[in-house]
Amino acid sequence: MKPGYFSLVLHAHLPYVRHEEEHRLEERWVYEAISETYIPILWQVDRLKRPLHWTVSISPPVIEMLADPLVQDRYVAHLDEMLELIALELSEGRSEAEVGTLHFYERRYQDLKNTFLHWNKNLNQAFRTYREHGYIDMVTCTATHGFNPHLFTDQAARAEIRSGLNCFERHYGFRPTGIWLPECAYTPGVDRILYEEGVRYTFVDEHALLEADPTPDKGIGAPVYSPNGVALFPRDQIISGKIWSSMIGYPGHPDYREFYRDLAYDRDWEYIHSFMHPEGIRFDTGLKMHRITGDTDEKDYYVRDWAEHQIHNHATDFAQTLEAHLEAHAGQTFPPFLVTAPFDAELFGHWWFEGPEFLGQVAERLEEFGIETITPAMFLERHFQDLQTVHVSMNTWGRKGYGDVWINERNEWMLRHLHMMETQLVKDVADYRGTSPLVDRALKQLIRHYVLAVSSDWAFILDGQTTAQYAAERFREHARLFAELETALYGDKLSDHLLDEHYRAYPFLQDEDVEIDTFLSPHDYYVTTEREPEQAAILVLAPEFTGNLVGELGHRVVEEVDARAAEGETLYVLTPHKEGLPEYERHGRVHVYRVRLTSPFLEHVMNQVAAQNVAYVKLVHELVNVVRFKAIHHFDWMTIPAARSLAKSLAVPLYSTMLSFETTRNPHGHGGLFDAIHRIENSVLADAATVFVGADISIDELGSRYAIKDNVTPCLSPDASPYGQNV
Amino acid sequence: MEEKIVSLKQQGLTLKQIAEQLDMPIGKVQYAWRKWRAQHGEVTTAAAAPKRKTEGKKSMKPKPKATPATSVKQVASTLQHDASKQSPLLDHAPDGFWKLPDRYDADMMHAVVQSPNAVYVFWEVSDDVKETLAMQFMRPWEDLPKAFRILDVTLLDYTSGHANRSYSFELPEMTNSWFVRPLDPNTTYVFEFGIRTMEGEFLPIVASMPLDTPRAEPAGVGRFAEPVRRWQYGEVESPELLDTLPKYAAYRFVR
Repeated sequence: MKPGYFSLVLHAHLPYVRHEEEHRLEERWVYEAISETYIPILWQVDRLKRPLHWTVSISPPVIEMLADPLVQDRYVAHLDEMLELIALELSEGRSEAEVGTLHFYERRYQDLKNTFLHWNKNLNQAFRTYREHGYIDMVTCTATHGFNPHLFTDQAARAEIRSGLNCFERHYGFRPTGIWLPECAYTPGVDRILYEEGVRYTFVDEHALLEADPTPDKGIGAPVYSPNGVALFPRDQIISGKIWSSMIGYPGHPDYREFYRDLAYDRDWEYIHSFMHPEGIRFDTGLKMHRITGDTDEKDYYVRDWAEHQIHNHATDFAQTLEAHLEAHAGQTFPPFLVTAPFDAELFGHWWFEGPEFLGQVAERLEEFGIETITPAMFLERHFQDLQTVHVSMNTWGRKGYGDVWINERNEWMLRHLHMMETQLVKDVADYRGTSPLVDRALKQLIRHYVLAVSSDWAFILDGQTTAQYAAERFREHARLFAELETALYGDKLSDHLLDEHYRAYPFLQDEDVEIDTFLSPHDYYVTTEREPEQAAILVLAPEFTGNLVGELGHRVVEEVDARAAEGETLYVLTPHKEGLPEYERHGRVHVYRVRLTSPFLEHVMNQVAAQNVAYVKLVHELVNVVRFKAIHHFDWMTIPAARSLAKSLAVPLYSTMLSFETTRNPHGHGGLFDAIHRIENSVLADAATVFVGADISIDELGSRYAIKDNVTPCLSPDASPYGQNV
Repeated sequence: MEEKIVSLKQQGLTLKQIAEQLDMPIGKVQYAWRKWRAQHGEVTTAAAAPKRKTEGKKSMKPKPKATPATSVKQVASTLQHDASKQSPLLDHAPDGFWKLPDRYDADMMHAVVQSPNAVYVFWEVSDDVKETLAMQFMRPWEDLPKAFRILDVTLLDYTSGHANRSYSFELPEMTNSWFVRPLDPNTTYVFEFGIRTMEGEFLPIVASMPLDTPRAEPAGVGRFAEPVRRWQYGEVESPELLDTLPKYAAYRFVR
């Protein structure tokens, strides 16, 4: 054996395109992948019948569709239709070149059918069997291929990862220690969740390591650990490029089958229409009769022997290239040089028709050349001590290497709604989990709608603009189902019938795969189950509260709050943040929040006050989901805008304490600021249930400067409740 | 008008449908409905629950509920913002069919990486915040000039208010997302949406979490090397590294 290793990884993924109604064009994506990629790869594994050290990643949507009787039966019908078309073609007296290829297809489709039926129509059984024989290793992907860097919460990423692993385990009988990150998209933090979920390795593009900090000593010649201990195996672009690149790669050879020329487009409509979509849409049959030929539109017929000859040449060339590459790095030890080559499985067979046979022959050549193949799992068993830990920043294997494909002007409109669904799920799970079996089922269904919506395929398809309408409709449909079910949950309108309907629309994942508590946060658990229930509270907005009180007003606030608390009221006091004092403290029934301005360095008083008011309103919005307020009591002009706005939206009475006014502090004042404060003070007089004014203020005189009503009254003694019978 | 709203609501229409039927802003309908509910809340409670004679004096107060079956329910039953009891994702086009909401009545800003030089940012501002600012500056929200600020907070604590550098620019009215570019790779940014005040100051309303742009070239031994080492060798209790997927708590400010 020569020093160094080669590791091949194939990732099989399609979006979940199973539809109950017949003749959906998207379902043909599954048939094409089975006929051209999945079964041909299985043929190679079956032919070689020995440990190949290939790692096959199979995504949950693919697993679930392969296991679906509806998809299985339709695929058999599809094969029969293909055999019928081939028979018709052969009866039409085609040219010798065409007849040769048609006979090739006839044998091939017969073989596809035999293989498919041999595995009882469920190819998961085939992959599982070969894995259990030790021929291949298997991992899976997150539930629906959501793009991790653009998720918002730990919970959403965790739900994608865990339900993906659960689904895989249900079909394959074991939990893999590796996972395929959708689009090889890494983002700092996803490694923490992967590690917590039991995942020990994944795959990234090579620039993830080339740009890591610190730069890894071995470059891309060895995997690295992320900060949270997940091994990242880098795609070797030089070696991978030999295969996938249309410029320097093998698949573009003139003798290989041409992807873009299909028999459906070479035949008259009258002749072919019974094999086409009933609504008169022409689509690829899969019978491609031509070879690439060259850089020309005039394509010659496919010659199977020539293609097979090239497969042999290219497999040998690949082994030689790999041998030279490994020899060039033969000096690397601890660990030895590793070439990782991860690919979309569909590249082999679907895009490059001869690809699966190429892979089979490469496996044989590598044995002959003495090149050792290895799975990432085996590599880690041998060399886990030799890997360096580095920081890896966000990156993907997509166009330009980052997020350009998944966030751009064509697909950005989806993200807002996805993030809303994430935060709603966190809230709904906190509020409703465990209420009843029906509610728990609804929560699982909501998670199912979310994961189906978050699939990276929709953004990817919208970016490419082919079948964009389908992707946009699918996204909208999942968002609508989410909205309707969540509304039914809130309105207590759930029923088994309703949930059955929601599930049947897209029967993806079993309920046992989906774990509600992936969306639960420990803090929400405390708030919803352990926190003492509280009576309706009074919201107090005050410019100062405890600490070094500057003026009379601060003392007044403290006295009133203490007196109300002594009477048994619950109070929430919101006051500006002060250096040295805690942002939150609680004394019995009094909660004190010292609120940071949205910006600490504003120069102008009015703007500081505005930033404070905005911060109050935002905080109250966070609190009202749990805390019920029955009244608002604000002190001084500086809290008026927030107090007025909140009193209105919460529909609670507003109490105002104004120990002084701008016109009493500053009787001869004038100018912009004076006028602005005067207007704000004036505005509260109309809204407040009662305005308590300083004892030294003459209400008559006040009336000469402000539009006062009969709701203005001198301050009461702090011991007397200002709220009367109304609260 | 209030009677009409209440009557339609009791017929099962959503607030949105009522607003459309009466050709009123939804805010007004919401307000009227909440106000009516607040005023009549105790009537419905009293009708639903068995009456207790001993409560005479305090009968104006909403009564604390008798111990509910589970505390989970308790929280659900005190949700004030659920007045209309519907998903925020539920919205209808004029033709009556569901559509994605144009906006959410919330205050938030999220930023995601597009590339080492570009970040996509979107945000929402609630009606209450808009109204608070309108009351503060005595001008309708639509008339307040909108602006955007980029803060470079690399190796700084954003909450301290300090930034290595900042840049702000005006935004067109009705904007709720932006592709921010060009930015520098390997830099920690915070983005803010806000208004430009009369004095020309930028007043932020919503801000994103700090976000690192990816590196775009070999780092050598860069600013992450030492924090990674400290975390790897257990010298710190939690990593001094940004985590783009933090645990979210719906009630994070409820203590």
